[in-house]
Amino acid sequence: MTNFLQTTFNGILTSGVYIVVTLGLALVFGIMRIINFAHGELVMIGAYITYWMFILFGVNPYISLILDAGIVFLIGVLMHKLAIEKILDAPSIDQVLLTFGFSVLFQNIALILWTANPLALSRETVSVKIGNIQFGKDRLIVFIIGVAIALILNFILSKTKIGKTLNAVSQNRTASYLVGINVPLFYTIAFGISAALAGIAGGLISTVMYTSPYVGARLGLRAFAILTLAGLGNINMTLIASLILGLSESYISVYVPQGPGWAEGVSFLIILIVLAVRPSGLKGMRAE
Amino acid sequence: MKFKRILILILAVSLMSALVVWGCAPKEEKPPEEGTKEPIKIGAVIPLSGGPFAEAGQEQRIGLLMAEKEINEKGGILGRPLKLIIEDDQCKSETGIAACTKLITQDKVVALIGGYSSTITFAEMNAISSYEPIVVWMGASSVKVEHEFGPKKWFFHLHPWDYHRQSTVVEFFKSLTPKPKTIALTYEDGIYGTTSADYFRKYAEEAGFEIIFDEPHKSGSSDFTSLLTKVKAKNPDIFYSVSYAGDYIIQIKQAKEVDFSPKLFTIVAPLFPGYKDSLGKAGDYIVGVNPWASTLNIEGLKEWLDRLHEMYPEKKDIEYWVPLGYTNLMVVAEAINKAGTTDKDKVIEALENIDMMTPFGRLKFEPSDEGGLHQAFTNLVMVQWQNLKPVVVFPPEVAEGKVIYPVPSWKERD
Repeated sequence: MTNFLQTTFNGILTSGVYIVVTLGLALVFGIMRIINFAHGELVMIGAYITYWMFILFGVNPYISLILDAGIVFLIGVLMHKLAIEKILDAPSIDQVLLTFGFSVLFQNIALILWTANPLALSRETVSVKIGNIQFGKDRLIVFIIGVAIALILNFILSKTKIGKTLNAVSQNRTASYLVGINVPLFYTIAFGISAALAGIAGGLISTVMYTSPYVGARLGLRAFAILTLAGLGNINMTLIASLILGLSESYISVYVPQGPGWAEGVSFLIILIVLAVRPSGLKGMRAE
Repeated sequence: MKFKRILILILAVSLMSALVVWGCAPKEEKPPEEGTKEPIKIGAVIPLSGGPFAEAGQEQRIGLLMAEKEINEKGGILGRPLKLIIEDDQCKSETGIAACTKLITQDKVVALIGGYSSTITFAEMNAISSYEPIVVWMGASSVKVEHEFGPKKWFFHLHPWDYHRQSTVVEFFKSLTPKPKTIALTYEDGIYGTTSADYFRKYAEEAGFEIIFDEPHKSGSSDFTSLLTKVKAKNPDIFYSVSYAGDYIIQIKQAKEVDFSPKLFTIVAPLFPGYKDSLGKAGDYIVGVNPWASTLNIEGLKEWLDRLHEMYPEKKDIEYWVPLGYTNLMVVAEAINKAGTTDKDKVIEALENIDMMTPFGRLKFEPSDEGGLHQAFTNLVMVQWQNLKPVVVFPPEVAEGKVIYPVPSWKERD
């Protein structure tokens, strides 16, 4: 029983990492209908910022999150202004190639600047014990922040004016132009926020994993699986889908023979099943 | 419409690759005549960008450049300058094949050196075996490479094979007192992890150990707590993980998080750069198998390290790829010198008879267990992190200190 509770808890905490990585991806797809293959690399940049702030100035990684969000926001805005904006109406293969190009570019810049060495923050690992369950404090914090950001984002999108405007833009671009919405500006903001979320995700990940030029790419696969399961672009469902993936990976790791090797396959399996059975995702709405 | 564009794209790419191949085609060039001052060319293919191996490749490059500089300062090879041509395989088989082919057909190098990944090596050697060039390879530890290319007369190999690594680990476990009984094994599910596990299982069972946990994992995962929870429930004497640097960092930290304290936590290659910075005190007591340590008592090693620090004063952690890269170029230069010519058969003969001291240890090519004709290094050491310092603890003849076993549990350490 202890083992089961511990396994469940492990899975829930793992989903925290998935939530933070996927949120930005879901946002930008929901509004702009673009799958940003360089999202994982923006996460990686955030992780490096946190790492260097910690090493050079001893800044607490949770305080660095503000800086992560700010810097990666600017990178996102630049990316959008310089390139993404120009291919919004292009065939999706062009969008894939362009964002994939950014991903390779960022990876190689990171490789030149910081080598492929995995770097981890040399902070004391704090273990928390509740009853018979044990877990790392940082993993709990990542989960809490991840859920909080998802709820805030959902609130902004559904209740505030800027959120409603973004929704309008995503539903009908031409009509938004007609009613006087500055569509290019809102696209830039949306892409910037998505990048900022990636930056925050990176900062959080550096506390529970490590930083390397490929750390984002490895998490990217999970993010795409969650996106498919949640129904592309849906923020609330992203939360639930992350939990499903985190928990199923955890249970498979523990209760299936040779499980830890299979656990990652869950992501692929989920993509396959969802596409075959319910291509619209959990929510039942196709985001197109 | 879309389809047409993709077709055009494919067409363009194939045209371009055709042009590249045409450009690489051998040009009629006369080999330099004996007695000229034409440089002697040696080509190295190593991973310098594009993937997780690039870090090791950068270390190899340092060693290679140091050797090139020293050789040329001493007057080159056979009185001719040495020209080392380094190509980047970008951690990709196809790039590696192109680089090897270019070095052989265009640059007409005397020998091909370098190498890291087993998978890429396999592809490269397959592609160039028809040329039968002299290959002196420092990388690839998978026995699959040995089975296929080890028996070739032109293939020389420096790095220990994976079974050398696993037999060292098992011998070390046997040497512990009180003798451990149960072992939990986990390995990354690629070619490296699975072959290592196969050999480990074989040797461990022969030695009478009971493997009570035996499961693969995915490298690059953010969560090993589930795996560690499962292992913890089995309560093994020894936990042995075969994976990569980043995975070890998470596994060790998360072992502390879930309070998993085996009597010994063992990994492969525990001296990666940044180990101490990433793990701090949590990295203490971890034991790992490594082909080399800078503290080993090897003739001339101290002087070599001094020269290295003079060339690269900012370099603190030295991975074994630096001395191995240095050795790789040095042995080829020595063989050409001994042969007195760049003639292929004579150089191969000289390599077969070579016996020299290197910063990596004494180098002689001998047949190895699974069919290799020319294997240089077979010995490895076990290193334990003690008080933030790596200490060689096995085998006894080279050990600098005693292994701490059983190690204190996480609770006892605070």
